[in-house]
Amino acid sequence: MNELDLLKKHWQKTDKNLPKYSYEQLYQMLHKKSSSIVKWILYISLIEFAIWGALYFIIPQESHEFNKEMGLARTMLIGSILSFVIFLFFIGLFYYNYSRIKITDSVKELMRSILRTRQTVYLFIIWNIVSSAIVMVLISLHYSRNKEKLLEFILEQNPTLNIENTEAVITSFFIGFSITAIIFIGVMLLLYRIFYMRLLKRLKSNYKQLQDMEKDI
Amino acid sequence: MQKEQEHIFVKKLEKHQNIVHKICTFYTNNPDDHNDLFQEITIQLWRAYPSFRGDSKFSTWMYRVALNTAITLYRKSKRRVKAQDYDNISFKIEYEDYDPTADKQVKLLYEAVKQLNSIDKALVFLYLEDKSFEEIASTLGISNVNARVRMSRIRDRLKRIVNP
Repeated sequence: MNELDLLKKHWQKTDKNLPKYSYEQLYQMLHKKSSSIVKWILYISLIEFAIWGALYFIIPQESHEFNKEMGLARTMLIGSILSFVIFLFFIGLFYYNYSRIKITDSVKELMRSILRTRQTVYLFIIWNIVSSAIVMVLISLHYSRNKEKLLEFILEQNPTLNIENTEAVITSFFIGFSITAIIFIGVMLLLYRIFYMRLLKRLKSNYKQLQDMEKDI
Repeated sequence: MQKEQEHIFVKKLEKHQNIVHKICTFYTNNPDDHNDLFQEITIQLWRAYPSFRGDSKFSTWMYRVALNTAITLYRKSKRRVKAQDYDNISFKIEYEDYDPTADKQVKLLYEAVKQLNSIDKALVFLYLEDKSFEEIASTLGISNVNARVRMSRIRDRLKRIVNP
């Protein structure tokens, strides 16, 4: 008897020891929430969207005033609307991916759908990180071109600062700004790693198996 | 109408629940994970139920959806199999003719099978369920040749593990 047949002989005795759910228990299960990976990706992106939306409104008034003083109020508003529209577009894509997954597809088709989900999530993460970095660079370029206005605003807000040494004030501002930008992007990366990448890791191992399968054909 | 569909579906699921339990036993290592996977498979079966047109047997359709869920959509990540997990599997199997050598071999084989990737595991599962290569290939959506090639590799691997 070969190994698999030995296993088969034992396996076929498992039937009588399996648990058994009642009609009522099974009925209740239909109405519980799915915890599938793709659904979680959609949920997390919706939560993230809500958090970004809330943050926009929570931002202190001073920050809006600062942007206004620096001539950035309109640009920031247009930028925010644009980024929210793009965010919504990605949520739409996540929903599209989720709804297109047909669990009755063949394993291969199913994994193609999963690969598509992975690519969308990667694109979403890359877009968020790269666009945030570009915005930070553009803002700092704008500040450096308008140093006088910047200094005026800083001194207005902090009357105790030494106005003799304006270069030091500006340099400190830019150092502070850069550190904040790096921390901001770092936190974003960390959160993406915790929430999205863990789900993607599981999908990746499935995709590798698909590749192996294609090699066999 | 919806209520009636639910009733028909649950009746069918109740009748064929052993299939889902067996897949859960095969893909998980403890009762909690077993119940979680059973729950997820039930939801996915219900979600896919409108696509069940009755041109195949309910049980055949069930194998495909349940295995697809276990392979791809189950959220719990694969973890290393611990020693107590084998006992967990073996307690589910009643030995009529207890043979210590065969028992040791079976434990080794379960250990080896648990470490296969999820698609190979599905192949072994369907083989243990006494399905033909045609049925295995059609359930998993792979070619017959592919199913045979993969199964032959699995067989070699298991042989090496049991007879090192």
